[in-house]
Amino acid sequence: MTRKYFLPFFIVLFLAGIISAGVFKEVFPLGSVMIFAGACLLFMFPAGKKPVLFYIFLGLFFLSLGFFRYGSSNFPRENDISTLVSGVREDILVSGVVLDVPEEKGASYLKHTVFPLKVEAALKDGKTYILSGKILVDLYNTRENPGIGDRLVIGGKISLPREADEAFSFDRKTYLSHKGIYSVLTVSKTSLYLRTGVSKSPVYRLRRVLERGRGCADRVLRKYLSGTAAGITAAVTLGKRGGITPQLKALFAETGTTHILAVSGLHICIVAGILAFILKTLNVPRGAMCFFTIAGVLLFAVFAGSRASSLRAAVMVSFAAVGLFLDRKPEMISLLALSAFVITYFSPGQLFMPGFILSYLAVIALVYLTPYIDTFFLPRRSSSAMSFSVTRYFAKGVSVSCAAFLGTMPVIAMYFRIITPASIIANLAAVPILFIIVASGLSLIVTGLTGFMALPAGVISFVINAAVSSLVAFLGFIRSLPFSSARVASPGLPGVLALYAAVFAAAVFFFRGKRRKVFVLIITLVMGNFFVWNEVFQGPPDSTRVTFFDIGSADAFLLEASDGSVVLIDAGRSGREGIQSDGERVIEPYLRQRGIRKIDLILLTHAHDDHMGGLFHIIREFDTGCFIDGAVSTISTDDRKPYNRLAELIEKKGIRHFKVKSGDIIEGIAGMSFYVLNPPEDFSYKDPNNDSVAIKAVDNNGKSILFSADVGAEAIKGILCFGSFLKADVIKMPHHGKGAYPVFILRQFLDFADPDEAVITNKENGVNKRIIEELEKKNIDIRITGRSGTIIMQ
Amino acid sequence: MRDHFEKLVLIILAVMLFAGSLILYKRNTRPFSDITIVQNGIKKELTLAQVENLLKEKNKIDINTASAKDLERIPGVGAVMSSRIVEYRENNGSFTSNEQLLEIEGIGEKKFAVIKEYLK
Repeated sequence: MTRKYFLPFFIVLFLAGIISAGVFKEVFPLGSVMIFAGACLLFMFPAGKKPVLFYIFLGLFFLSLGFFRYGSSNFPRENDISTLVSGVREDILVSGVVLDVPEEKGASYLKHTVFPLKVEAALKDGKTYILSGKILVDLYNTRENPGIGDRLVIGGKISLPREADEAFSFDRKTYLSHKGIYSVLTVSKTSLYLRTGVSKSPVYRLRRVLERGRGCADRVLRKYLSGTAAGITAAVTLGKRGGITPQLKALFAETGTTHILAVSGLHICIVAGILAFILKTLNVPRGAMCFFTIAGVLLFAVFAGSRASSLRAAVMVSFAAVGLFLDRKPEMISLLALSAFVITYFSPGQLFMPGFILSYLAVIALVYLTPYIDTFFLPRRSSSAMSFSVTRYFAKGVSVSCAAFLGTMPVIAMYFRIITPASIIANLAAVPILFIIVASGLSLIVTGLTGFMALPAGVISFVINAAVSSLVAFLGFIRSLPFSSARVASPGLPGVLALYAAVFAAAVFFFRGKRRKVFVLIITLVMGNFFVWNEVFQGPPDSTRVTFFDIGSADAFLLEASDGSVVLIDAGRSGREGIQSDGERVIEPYLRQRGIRKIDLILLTHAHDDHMGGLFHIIREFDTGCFIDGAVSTISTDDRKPYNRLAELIEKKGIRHFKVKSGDIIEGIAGMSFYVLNPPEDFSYKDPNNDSVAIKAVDNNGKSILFSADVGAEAIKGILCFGSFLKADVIKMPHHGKGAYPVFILRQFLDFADPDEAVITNKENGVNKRIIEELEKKNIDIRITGRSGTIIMQ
Repeated sequence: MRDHFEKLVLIILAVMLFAGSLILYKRNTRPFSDITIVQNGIKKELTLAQVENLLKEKNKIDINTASAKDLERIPGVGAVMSSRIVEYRENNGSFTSNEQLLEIEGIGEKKFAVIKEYLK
């Protein structure tokens, strides 16, 4: 093992210790034992001769150190506030200090602020508790936002964060646990919210000053810039992402340039470069130059919001600067390892953040993969020493871009379910333009704050506006090209790890000269195969598979037949400003994950938003064969506009549109038949709920499900006319388990249906107790989507 | 030797990629299921009138199994009367016929005629 890999090797062991603690949580005590044993044994060896055994124990030491660090900072302590959670969303009063700058999310009446609170005490069920730990506060609609360091007393409902389930793509619980947060407090408009003072601690004081500074800088930017330009400049210089609209975010995501919008390695390097350049022209001695560059970079990271991505990059660049100063051509691998060590030592949870992983992967790929790809784009050993041609720089740029893409693609696919080949070209323009925006943005801030006019503010604003407009236009163009991006099923972690192992092995194997070309070819083919076969194996299920989505008090159901046919019944709610529709947030990712790209039939039971809203997105994104809704259908005035829009969209896309009524049978889907029970054929109940389409779905194994939409007592009476035909294995209870219809009607309905299981699409506490009673009386298994998450039946 | 091996690996990988893409292509371009609607395919077992009757019957109260609360659902029967009925049942055993209700204080011919409609 050569010298230069010495340090990185042990640091990797440290990281492995952190990972094992994060994954095998129960083994934490073992880590403490190991670290103790390791430390002891280290002292047993005298200085001087160091046998192999010594290195083994050194390795164990680092491993257990990692273990221990994660355990001591990322497991909830005994008096953590989350220990008070015993049910679902209980009332509690909490006092504590605001730990970090609050973030604003959402818009209009759904605007809310999110911030972590360091808990000091709590009052619950009449008892006071002295506690510790952090809790994430979700604050709805107050007029003033808390500042960092504020002391607060707030009332709200405490609950555990959402876990991942089959269809819920974002695992909030694990994400927050890596930050040391294990519970969430939801504070509504009417809850108690008191600012009782401000923490005197110097750290908070400093951060408050910084926040004020950031606010001033932000106002300067908004004074001279507007719209997109202001939003993007504020994001890349100050870390304030409030001005980035979802559409803008999507544009960057689909061109693989999201990293441009968050202050990360690239931005820090740009600032470091500018600083170094200025200091050099001022002929500052090297030592001072190094010092000021590092100071400047760290200051910038803090000023830009102290986000993990910025601090991490600042640490990395600082180590590089020190290395350069000490005249040792810094071994990249040691620099990376050291910076990783420093960061993860103080915050072990960082190791699990996608941002952290992607930063390091990108740098490793840039440094080590680029030479391989160079062999394609650059002439071998440029014999023409005239190497300053534009083509050469362009070729190098493409090579670097390709390396970054290859290195990060698997992880991006895993977390974000998207592959963006477009990033190779997009980044070629985005990076230089970012340089212009950052440099101009910072000088505009300096100009505006200090009045020191290096250039008139008007000129700088013009430059920024031009840069932003051209960037957005260019990205838009790139996005419109074919094959610019593809949404894919997320490969599992084992697959991704295996892929990287393969890349690493191949890189070592094909190390020499022109054989590097072979490496690139093989790796590209391997990756291509990986994603293609991953999707192939997501294929259709063996027997009919039904998914009841957990989207609160709304309906959406997916039926997959074994021949690949797909039926979607309702699609949940529409989105609002800042919040995605259920179609976009839950259903689309789920369909992609299951390798579904087209839908044979969409059935809309009635035109209420909690059933129809998500359909817009689904119909836009997926090819649909046929659309069916009720023949007799009352549509309220509020819903008429959206419904008409939907009908227009369906017509424009050329989707066949049928209407059904009671007594009809929908045939054609292999392995499934749908018998329509409602609405009646000759009259309307004059009410959208009672007119909703209720069906009995039967598969070719005889398994049947009653989807009773939102029918009320009137409609159920009509449905009862089908008598014993209503017998089914599963019943989806009408109207989300709400509705106070007469008990005897419900009883008769259940008598005829005689199901084994009942599914209720609602939150745990939204269901009518009487309905639960009746179901329990008949010994029917109750499955509530809000309680058990998305339900899947084969 | 090495060159041959590498060429072989490249060819195999390329073929696999092609095969997988072909499978996906076929899967994504398969024609939509041909949906048809069969009108009036299900026969109703009961008429609406029959359903109403059935519900009415099912809704009728069995004076032997009803709780005091169930009895209160009958129009004309209040808390006092229902507890009397339950008391009578406990003291004298199950009712053998609905007419026995006439023996209870407060239930006369007129009252009984009204209540009778709601009883099994």
